[in-house]
Amino acid sequence: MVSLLDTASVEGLRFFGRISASISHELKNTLSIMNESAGLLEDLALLAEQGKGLDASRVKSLGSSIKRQIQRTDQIIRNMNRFSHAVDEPLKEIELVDFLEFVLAVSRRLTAAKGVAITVQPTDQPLMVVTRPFFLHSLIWLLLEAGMGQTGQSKALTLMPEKIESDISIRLMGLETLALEAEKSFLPKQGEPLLSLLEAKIKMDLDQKVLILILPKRLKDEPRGESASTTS
Amino acid sequence: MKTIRVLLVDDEEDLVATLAERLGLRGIDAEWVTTCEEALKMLPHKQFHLAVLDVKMPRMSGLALKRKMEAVAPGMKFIFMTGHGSERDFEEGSAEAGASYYLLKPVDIESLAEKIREMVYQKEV
Repeated sequence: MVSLLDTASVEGLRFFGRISASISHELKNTLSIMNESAGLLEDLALLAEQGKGLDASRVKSLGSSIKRQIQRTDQIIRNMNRFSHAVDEPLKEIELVDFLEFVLAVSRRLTAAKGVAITVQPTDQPLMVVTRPFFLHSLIWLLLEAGMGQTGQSKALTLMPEKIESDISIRLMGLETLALEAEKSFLPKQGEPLLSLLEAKIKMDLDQKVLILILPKRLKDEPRGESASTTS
Repeated sequence: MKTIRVLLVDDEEDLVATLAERLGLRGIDAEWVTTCEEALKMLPHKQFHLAVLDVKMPRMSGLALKRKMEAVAPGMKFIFMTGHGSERDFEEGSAEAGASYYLLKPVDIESLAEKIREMVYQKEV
């Protein structure tokens, strides 16, 4: 019998592959910039050997460009490392604003390809939630992917986390073309096991053009088919 | 032999600016832009023999940009660059790009310059 966790894991694995491919693409870009900057330094050195003179400011700016790309690469690798460790602890307490900013950081290339600017609205107080971070990340990505097709001319989305009674909600705002029929079809089918696993619910506010993801503040129950929580 | 004029389009400014400078040192007159929209705006006013396009760019793919550029400048040649390094991506990209040439990043400048000359002079013959 296939457990809920197994079903969700298939989508999780697909998501993991998608993000890994995007990160490798970003790394290729930073490597390419460093390759060209280093190459131009060599070109300039060759010209200098031929008595053409050396523009010190150009050499300095190329050095700065390489340093910038090293810092950028370091940040990409830090994000990749954090993303890779997301599956280490099935259940974990996370701060939601930090988590959502991380979600956007690792998918920056994918959202930029769609030309959509996505921001996270900060909260006054930290919003702590005990959940399954990896599966929540997968679910939010599916919602963002669907949401990016619904922004209309604005090409902008905002994620707004907030506390509502005993639960936590994440409002996805800016869905300008959200229509009545989206209520049933907004989340693709592969997202349903993720929703169940996270004991989450989705509501739509068609007047405000907002999707609301509601999460329990503290997810406790082990789903069927999952062994006791392990941490490393 | 006439000066080859090339347009480089990639959303990474540091990459495209440096690439243009390096091509310039090899006798190829290269201009660059960082968006597809800028490329399309520039095209009716300037003539280029060839365009070097990044495959994945915000809002419009390099392949979609190629189709739009061809409509404005028929006969223009294209080279694609991509950061996606898998064999499948390479094969799919090459097939979609048709007769154009497909390069994996990081690009070897000498190979790129040689390919540009080859494609432009071949066109002239």
